[in-house]
Amino acid sequence: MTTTIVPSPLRTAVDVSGLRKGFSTGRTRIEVLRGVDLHARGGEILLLVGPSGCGKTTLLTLIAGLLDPDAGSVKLWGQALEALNAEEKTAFRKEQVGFVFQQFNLIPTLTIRENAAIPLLIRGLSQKQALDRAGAMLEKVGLGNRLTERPGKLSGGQQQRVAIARALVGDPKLLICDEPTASLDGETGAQVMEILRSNALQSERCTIVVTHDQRIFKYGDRIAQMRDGVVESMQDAPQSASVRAIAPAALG
Amino acid sequence: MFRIALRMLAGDTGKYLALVLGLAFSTTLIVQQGSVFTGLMRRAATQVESVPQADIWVMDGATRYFDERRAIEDTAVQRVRGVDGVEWAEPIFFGMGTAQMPDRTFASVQIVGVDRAARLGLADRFEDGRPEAIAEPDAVYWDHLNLDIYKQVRTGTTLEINDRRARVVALASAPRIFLSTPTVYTTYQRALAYSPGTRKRLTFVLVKVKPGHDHGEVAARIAAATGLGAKTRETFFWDTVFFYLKNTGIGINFGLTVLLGFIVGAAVAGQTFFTFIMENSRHFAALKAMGLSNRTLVLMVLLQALAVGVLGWGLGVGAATLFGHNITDRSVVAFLLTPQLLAISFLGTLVTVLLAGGISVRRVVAVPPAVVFR
Repeated sequence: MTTTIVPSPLRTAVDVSGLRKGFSTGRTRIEVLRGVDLHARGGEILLLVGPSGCGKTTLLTLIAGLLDPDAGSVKLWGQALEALNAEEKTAFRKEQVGFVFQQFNLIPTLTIRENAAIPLLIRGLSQKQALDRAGAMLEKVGLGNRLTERPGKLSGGQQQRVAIARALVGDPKLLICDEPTASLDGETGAQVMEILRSNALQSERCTIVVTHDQRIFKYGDRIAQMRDGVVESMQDAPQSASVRAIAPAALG
Repeated sequence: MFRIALRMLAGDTGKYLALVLGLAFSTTLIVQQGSVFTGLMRRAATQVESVPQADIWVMDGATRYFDERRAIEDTAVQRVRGVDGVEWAEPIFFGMGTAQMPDRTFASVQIVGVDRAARLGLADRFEDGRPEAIAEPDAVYWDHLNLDIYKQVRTGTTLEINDRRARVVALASAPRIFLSTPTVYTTYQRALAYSPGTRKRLTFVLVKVKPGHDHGEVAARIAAATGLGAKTRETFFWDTVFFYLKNTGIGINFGLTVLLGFIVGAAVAGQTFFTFIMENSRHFAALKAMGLSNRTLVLMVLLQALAVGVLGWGLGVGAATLFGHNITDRSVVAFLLTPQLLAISFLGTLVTVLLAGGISVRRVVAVPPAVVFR
């Protein structure tokens, strides 16, 4: 049975205002972000789109607290990142942020269950607890029968599902995805987005996805169009009926 | 996370093996060459060690090491016996001679003459013959370890040592000495007869200290009472070893070999470890993005370094021990594995891996986690 979710007004999860960031290469300084304002709500998928070099990935790294902005602020659930020192930011990411990378970044010498357990091990859970929870999460993304295999044995779509399991296993409030379907074919990309979609619909989790892939636009709630270091427009995503029918998974 | 660190390390079999084998090679060279060196050094003073009953050696006051010998008066034995703390004192003779073989060839030999009753310093292991016949006229033992050079010598062979008749009644098996000169054992009086006559004939007085007396103090009393040199067995042993070490260049030459082995092994292992860490830097960056602290990251890399270090060291020591497994103090190859050598090799390995780990970890810590988005 499927349930149609009607998004209700949710409280602000990500609040970015006046964000500026530049990089120096020799004598040249490039202003990548020129005053970005952006808001994302809990329970929604926000797609960040735009041409290459417009600042999408830089914005993502600033939201995740991996880089510091030159000016402006990033608030996650009301917590201003600039108020945190490096150690506190690391601790914040450990507890609150999950990542899905374009290149998966799975450690090839570990089994997929060990890979998925890493965020929990970083949090200090015991090996057994972490592996049990990682196994359960992999079960939910359809890889329960391949727990002891290494990533190299899996297809690109399966590896990305492992990466999603790793990102979700710690039940983060913010999920950051960088081109999660760029290395996948259309069908596999759709499967990956359906997992992200069903996950986003439960709890207050906010999912931000950087993408060039127009095929997955329908899985977002809103689309932020970036150009030349600013958010040019924000619009609702053209969700199809089939996407609207995706049920929230019993994840986490 | 430490288990993950070890799994990351061991999972890359090729690099893991290269790392471990590089360190094992380095350790093997250090331990094997070091053991050969200590084995050889021990042989420089084997004859001091081979009379464990003697606590003190009494000699000419100017003697610096075992092979530098000047005869003392025979009456020294009686004078030493009169010193407080001496339980017993016996003479022993060391000298050189020329042994003429039955086929008219000859060999320079070391002559050891021991007290007939006490038999201190006499070979106590034999390969052939009748050791009890040493009391018979002209009887000598021939050290069989040199038989590969002097194959014509057998039990019953009659030789001439410094123009005097000698009959081999047994083939002795004594610990090897530093030189290849064959050793002939006989009684003290017969040894004197084989040696050209000088007024003073006695080489050393071997002394047993009474229970409860300090060896060093008794040695000092002997020196004061007789005007001779007196050294405890340990002092005489180490004086001899250090003399060869200092004056023959053997220490520097072996040291260079060991150092070269260490440098080659350390360079291979260090470079491989550095490459391993750098190739994983993207994974480390991802871990940092996920919230891994720099402190844990440093500990993970150092644990990886220590793990390969301990394993490589263990394998290296094992290989070196295997090399020395069947080597005894009678073997041509010298080998003496000491706890100090194990400690030095472990320290060397530790320095290598911690250095490689330290350099690598600095690079990894410097990698910004944002690199995972590039």
